[in-house]
Amino acid sequence: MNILIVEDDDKKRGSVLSYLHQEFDGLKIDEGYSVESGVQKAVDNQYDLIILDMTIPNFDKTDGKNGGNSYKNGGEIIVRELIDEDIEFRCMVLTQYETFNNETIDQISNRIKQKCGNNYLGYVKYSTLNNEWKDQIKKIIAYVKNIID
Amino acid sequence: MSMSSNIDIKKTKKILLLIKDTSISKITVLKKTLQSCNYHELEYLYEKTPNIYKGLFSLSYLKRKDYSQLFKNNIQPDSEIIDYIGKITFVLKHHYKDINSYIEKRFNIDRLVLSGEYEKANLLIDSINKEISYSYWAAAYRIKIDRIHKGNKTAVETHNNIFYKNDHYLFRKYCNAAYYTSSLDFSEEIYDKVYFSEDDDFFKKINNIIKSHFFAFEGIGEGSWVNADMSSSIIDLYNHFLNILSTLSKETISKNEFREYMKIISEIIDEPYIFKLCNLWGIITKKIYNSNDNRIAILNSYFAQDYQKVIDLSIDYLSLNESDVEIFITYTKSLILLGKKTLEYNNDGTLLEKIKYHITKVFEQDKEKVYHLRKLMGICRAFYHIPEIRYLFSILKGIESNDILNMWSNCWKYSQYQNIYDIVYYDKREEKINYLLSIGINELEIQNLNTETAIGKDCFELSLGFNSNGSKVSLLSEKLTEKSLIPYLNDAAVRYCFESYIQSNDTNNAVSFYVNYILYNESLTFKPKDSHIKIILEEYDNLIDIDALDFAIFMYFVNVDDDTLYLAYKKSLKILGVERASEIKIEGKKKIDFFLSHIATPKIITLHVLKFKSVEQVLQERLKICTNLNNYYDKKQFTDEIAGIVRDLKMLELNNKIDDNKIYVDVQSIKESELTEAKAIYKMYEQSALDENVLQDTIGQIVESLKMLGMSIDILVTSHDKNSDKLEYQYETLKRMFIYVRDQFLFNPKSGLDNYLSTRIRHGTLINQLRNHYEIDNLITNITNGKYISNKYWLDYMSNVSNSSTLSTCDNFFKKFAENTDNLIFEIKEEYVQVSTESNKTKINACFNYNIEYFSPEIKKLQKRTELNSYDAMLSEMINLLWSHTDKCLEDVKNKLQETKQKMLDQLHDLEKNIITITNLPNQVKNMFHDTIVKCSGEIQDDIQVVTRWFNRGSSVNFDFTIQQVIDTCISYINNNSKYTLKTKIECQSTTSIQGKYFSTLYDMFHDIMNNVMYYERNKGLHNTCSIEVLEINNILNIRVSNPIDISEEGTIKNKVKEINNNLETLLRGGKSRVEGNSGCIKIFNAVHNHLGSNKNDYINSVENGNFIVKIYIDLIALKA
Repeated sequence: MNILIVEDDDKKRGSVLSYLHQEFDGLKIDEGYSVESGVQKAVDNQYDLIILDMTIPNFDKTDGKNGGNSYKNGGEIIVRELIDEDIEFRCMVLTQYETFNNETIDQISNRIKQKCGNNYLGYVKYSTLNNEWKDQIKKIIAYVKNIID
Repeated sequence: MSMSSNIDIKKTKKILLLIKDTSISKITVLKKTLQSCNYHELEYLYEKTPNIYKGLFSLSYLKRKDYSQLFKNNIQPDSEIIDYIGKITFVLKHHYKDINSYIEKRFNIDRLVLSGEYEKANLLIDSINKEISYSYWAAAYRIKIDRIHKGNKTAVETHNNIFYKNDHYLFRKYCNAAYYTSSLDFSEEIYDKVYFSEDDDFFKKINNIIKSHFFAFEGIGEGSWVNADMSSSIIDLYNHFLNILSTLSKETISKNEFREYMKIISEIIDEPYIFKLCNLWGIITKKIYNSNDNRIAILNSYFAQDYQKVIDLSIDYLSLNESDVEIFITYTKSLILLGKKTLEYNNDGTLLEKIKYHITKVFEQDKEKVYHLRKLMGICRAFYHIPEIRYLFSILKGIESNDILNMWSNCWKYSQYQNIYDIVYYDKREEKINYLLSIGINELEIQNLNTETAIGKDCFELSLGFNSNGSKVSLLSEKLTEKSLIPYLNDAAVRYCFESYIQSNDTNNAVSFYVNYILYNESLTFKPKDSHIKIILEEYDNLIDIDALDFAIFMYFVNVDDDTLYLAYKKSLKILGVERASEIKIEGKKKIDFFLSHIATPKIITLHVLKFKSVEQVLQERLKICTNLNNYYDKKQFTDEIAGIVRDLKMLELNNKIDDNKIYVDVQSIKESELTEAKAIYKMYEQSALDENVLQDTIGQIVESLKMLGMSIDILVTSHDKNSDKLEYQYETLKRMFIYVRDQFLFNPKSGLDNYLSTRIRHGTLINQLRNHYEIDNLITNITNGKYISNKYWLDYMSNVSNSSTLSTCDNFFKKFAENTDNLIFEIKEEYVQVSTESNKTKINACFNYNIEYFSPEIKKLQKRTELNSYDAMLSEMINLLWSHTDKCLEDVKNKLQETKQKMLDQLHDLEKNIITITNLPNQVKNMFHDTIVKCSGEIQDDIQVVTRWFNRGSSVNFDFTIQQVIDTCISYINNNSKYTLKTKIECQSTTSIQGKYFSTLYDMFHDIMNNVMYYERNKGLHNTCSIEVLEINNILNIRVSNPIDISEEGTIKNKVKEINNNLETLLRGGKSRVEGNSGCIKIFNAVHNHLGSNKNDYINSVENGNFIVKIYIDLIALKA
């Protein structure tokens, strides 16, 4: 199963990757770190699932470089761009934040659902304080695996 | 119904008995009479009352002798509106002479106030007070006049003088309201200051009374609260009666009693407004009112579109009646319609001049129309009691509404004189026509109102309801295109057309119409409603055959969010057949050029991530677009933007240079001037090698000689041992040389590694970079008197839901967190980013550990390398060794940084866990706190990445720069990494290009200076502006940085400056530049004197005229690119 994870926070990304590799066999996971690298990877490759962080910078900030603007709804921007480019994809959101410029994740999620329909598998709230996110991701990946198989 | 049938004879007889009964208070009788009797009964009673009581029963008490008498006898009958008007009629009938005298004086007072003759106005008000009655009208007017004439202080004094004359709550509230509404800049905050809080119906009623008197511009309606005026004064009673007339319902107006009362009043009171209303309502009166024929002619001429005649008549009329706002507006519109120049009015002059100034701007559809409207409305609200002003306000409200069908709907209520535009009062066409005929408009002119072509340039036919059937979109559209509408109507016409398209589901045309209009008319202020924008955006994706450019431009003007505008931008590129906006050819087409200049901007291009991969690429794209536009148009707007982008690109480049050049040793300087001893040691090393060879030869010859003599030589001339000793000696010598070179490499106060670690990393930069986000996120506090202060920001949020014990625990968590975080940061600075050797080992955890034991094997290898047979070759290899070791040290630092990062993240995690566990925060606060932790966590990781990047060896210096760019980069860097923003004023006249290799040094220099300024300003809690001036005089760069200081500290700072100035060289030589916590002066001195290519440079600190001043002189010849 091919997964793309778009996440700029090293610690969170590391934690998610570690869990995914530990829990599932045969996952091929690519990484994007910004709107730019996330979109580019999704356009260049075929993925069974794209895991999107919501708040991300426009460009990769590796080596302390200038990542440009940081978008509270960066994940949504990626979705809109992929739809505009006629890319078929399946996605979910994995976020740490509770609010996004006076909006809630539910509001953003509803908009994404309207655009993506059944290809949007909902959002999961990541937290360092509990492991609930692991079970939720597990279910989604199991669901996607089922579809692929 | 006859007069006699309206009288209850029984009731009146009873009252007459009460009047005659001397044991009963006449006030009580009067109250009862007023409460229970209608107009006819009151008249009857008045006739029958003994003369001695006639004064009382004509309500002469309403002619107040002093402010203190207002509201005193609390006579407030509770009547329905028509009955109340009957009572007013009774009062007016018996005091009509006084009222008419008041009307005449009031007209003059209003005129004098508008013309700025305040003293005369005050005298007239005084005469009304004394000759007719005191009133709250007079009180309010005095306060307002003093505010505009003499200022706020005098207004307050006048208010207080009058306020204390009467302790009735309503009177005092009126005084307050008069003061607060006297400002020409109206603010809604006034309502909170004036209104009572509406705890029950009584206060609601009181607030209605206040509203009707001082905030009538918000709209008033019928209500029993009007009765309060019965206990005020005759003047107030009359004024308010006038105000409520236009609010009466048609049902009330149709009632016979009401019409009878109005007839009576109109025949005795000389108020043109009453006469006009009676005519409108069809109440026939015997009054013959002599209207001004010129006035009527002006208005009729305007209606007939004879604008020249309007102008000709108005000039004379206005010279005698300058405060006639209705005619002034008509005159101004005529000038505009004929394309004539309007007069210039003085915005700083009298009220009337201000009004005329702003009216002209509004009707000319000035770009600042909204501003002028607002200013006019402020004046109107302050002086709403003046009839001309009330009329003006109704016109402005109409214009503000942008509703072309109803713009004049309310003007009949407020214009004082009967005129043609009163037809808006009527709903039906027949009624309008009848009215026009009744005021002398001829039939032919009326017939013309029926045709499309008679819409006219002021669209009054539409507004007046003549042609409200059917859509007028194409007609108005045509007039807009021809620019034949009077400008102030443009917004309303555009609104009408746009909304008509929307209502007929023609989204494409709505958008195209709006865009085509707004692109060519900058003064358009109309903005589509949110609901209409939503409809358009929802349909956008599904629309076919849309003009993508039109939609993109429409979205720009209605301020959609960036990602929506970006998708429209992409669609436009597709339609235009290009992949990038910079590929679009400029041919002078308005829409394309607008798209390029306003939509294809960096914030939109940056989202085009499949084409542009970095901030630099985005800026390059925008640069190309601006260059293309400028090549065609050659406009300052584009050249300015180009200069800005070039500057930003350079700053991005230089920012990278700052981060990439922190690790540095000025090896060249060390080689040139600091290694005399190293050379001497090398000579000894060289010599020791030669000596060894001579000894070897001598021993060999002796052995051969002895062998030839046949002596067996068992002398153990162990050349091996001797060699060993020699080799040891050589090694030690080389080692000594290496140590010397190493120590210069590391500790040379001007050029060594530790100097640069101190200057570029430890001194301020590291702490700022790692601490600033904690501060911005309010997660960390500072130390005062040796202790961390409480985190008031978060504790305030928690205080509502936590007891004191919990709060105290939270306080401790935050303080501990701050302490631990600072410890981690200081550990990096004090322990890891330090240099140590075997003889300089105070910093035992230093990552830059150059203990000789690491180098011993390498030195031995150097010793064996026979090709290193010169000082330069050996030195070069030693330097390589040192750099190679430095690279390992840099990796150590990076590892430490990663460890520190993990600890910082763990601490954040623990802080959140601890706080959430013991508090029961409401979701909103909990989410806010959580998001702050997450944000800070991301920022820490970014900051550590940035700091990690510093620990790479310096990169290429093949670039040029100017001193302005250094200053800009430095200030930008400091402000981006600090909660506190440095305020600067920069005047730089130097444009000389400087070699890239001097960039870091100049940057360090400015950084230390600006850092000092920032720390000073922040610690003192000041927000002074630091001034930076740079001049080039005879190839010398004159830099002057000046910042105000606390005057009380001037002496202390002066002494400190003197001490430092006298000792800089000594302190530098003594290696004191490594000492942290100093001002950085030594580092600056070092930079200026030793690293900027000339010994002519100079650096002076001083204190002059309350400012700390740094002056630096740099020889440019050495630096030039």
